[in-house]
Amino acid sequence: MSNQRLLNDVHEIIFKGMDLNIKNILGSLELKFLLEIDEIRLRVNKPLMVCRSNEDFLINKNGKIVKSVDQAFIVRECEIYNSLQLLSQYSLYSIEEELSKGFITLKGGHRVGITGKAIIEKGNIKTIKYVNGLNYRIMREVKGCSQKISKIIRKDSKDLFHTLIAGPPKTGKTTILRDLVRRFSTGDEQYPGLKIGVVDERSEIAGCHRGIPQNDVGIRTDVLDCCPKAQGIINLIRSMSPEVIVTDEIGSKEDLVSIHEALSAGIKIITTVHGANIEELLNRPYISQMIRDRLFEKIIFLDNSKGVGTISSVVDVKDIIRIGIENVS
Amino acid sequence: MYLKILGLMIIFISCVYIGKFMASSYEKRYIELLTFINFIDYFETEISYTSTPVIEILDSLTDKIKSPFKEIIIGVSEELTSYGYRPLCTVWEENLYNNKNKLSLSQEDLELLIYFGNILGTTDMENQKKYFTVIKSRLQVQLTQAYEKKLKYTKLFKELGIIIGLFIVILII
Repeated sequence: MSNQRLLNDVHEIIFKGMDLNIKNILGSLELKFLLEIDEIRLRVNKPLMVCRSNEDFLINKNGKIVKSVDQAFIVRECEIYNSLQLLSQYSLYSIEEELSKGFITLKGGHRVGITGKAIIEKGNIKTIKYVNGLNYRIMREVKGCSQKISKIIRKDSKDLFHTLIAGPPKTGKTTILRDLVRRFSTGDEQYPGLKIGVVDERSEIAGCHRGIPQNDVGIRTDVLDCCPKAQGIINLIRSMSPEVIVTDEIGSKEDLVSIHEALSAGIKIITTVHGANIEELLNRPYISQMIRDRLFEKIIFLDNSKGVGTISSVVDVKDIIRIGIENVS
Repeated sequence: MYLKILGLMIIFISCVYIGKFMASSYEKRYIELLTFINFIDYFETEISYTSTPVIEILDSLTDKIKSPFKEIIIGVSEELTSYGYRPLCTVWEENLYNNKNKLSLSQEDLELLIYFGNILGTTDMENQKKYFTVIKSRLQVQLTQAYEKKLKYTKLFKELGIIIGLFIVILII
């Protein structure tokens, strides 16, 4: 993503969904620093904070970085309220569904996380009232970041391994997954493109805004946005004849059933899961079951040891099965 | 002689016109209240069935609604689209007061219109509908009152204009 596009996105999309006071303060930040920000955090009666590469910075009313909380600009409830009004285009009722999920996806694939008092109906979050915090997450596409992983996933020119990409939070799983989708979908001279179906439950892969992918997800990709994974996988199999199904953060019983369905239809699966090592994955009942059922052929572990998205290890599931799952840990 | 007749005619027509003008404010108030109730109905439909954001509803209304509400809606819509940093309720209230002279509404009616701007877009769909119902029922009371006044005073002021006109003409003759 070029700096110019990012700057344009920050001014035209992120700042337009922000209270004027906060916008003016952040607008005074040094340009180089502004372009490196990953997150902007607004919390009621707490200092204005921005995050860059897992490090957070407090900002004062003049847009300068300060160390002490006393010097920082304190975000008020009205500023959060105004920001929410702007994010919803003065129409809170139009983002009810987003509020129940706890985030809004903006144009350009950027996202705003929302916290407050959850209103529960029939055991599910119906909406969020008394919003107390907003987290603006600036999305950056890193084109080409999946080069190494794509070589591991490719079985031959037309086939892929069923793959599980695992790692702790913030290790670049989704960024790499997004680039894999773009790469496999578009194809190149050596590898023809594949029809890919993306079930994007949290709008993180394609970053759809009003149903239209804001990120480059390739030319043969069909996206089901905001759809529950298990239901989405079945729908895609029935309606879009994908060769590969891609989804993010699996782990439920329903996911297990739908992945079984996809495999029986001869479709390849690429997905991600939270977990730093094989022991952690085996401790999760449904993931462990998926591994035992050999739903995946490769498990790729990521960490941040040499920068975000470092491949720490690649595990062949058949090797685990061979030595016995009980002996792994 | 001719000049005198012309002068008397001017006086008579002026009195009739003043009477009609005073009567028309009652008619206008009734029509404006009716228009605003329809305006809320339109909002309710758009919000209930398509969750259309306020700005888009306002934009779609500019061709459907007549002056003086047209000017108010265009004013609100333009400010929200171009500047977009001020609360909707403030922009709505300002535009209402800027166009207050073009409206024939009473202070009580205006307060209801301001209240509509205060709640618009601030809650979930269910509560928006509840607010709309409350505002509409209060507007309905105002509308009934406006209709009664219209019946009573429209005829009165029109006739009063003619009578006063004739009275002055007879006095001068």
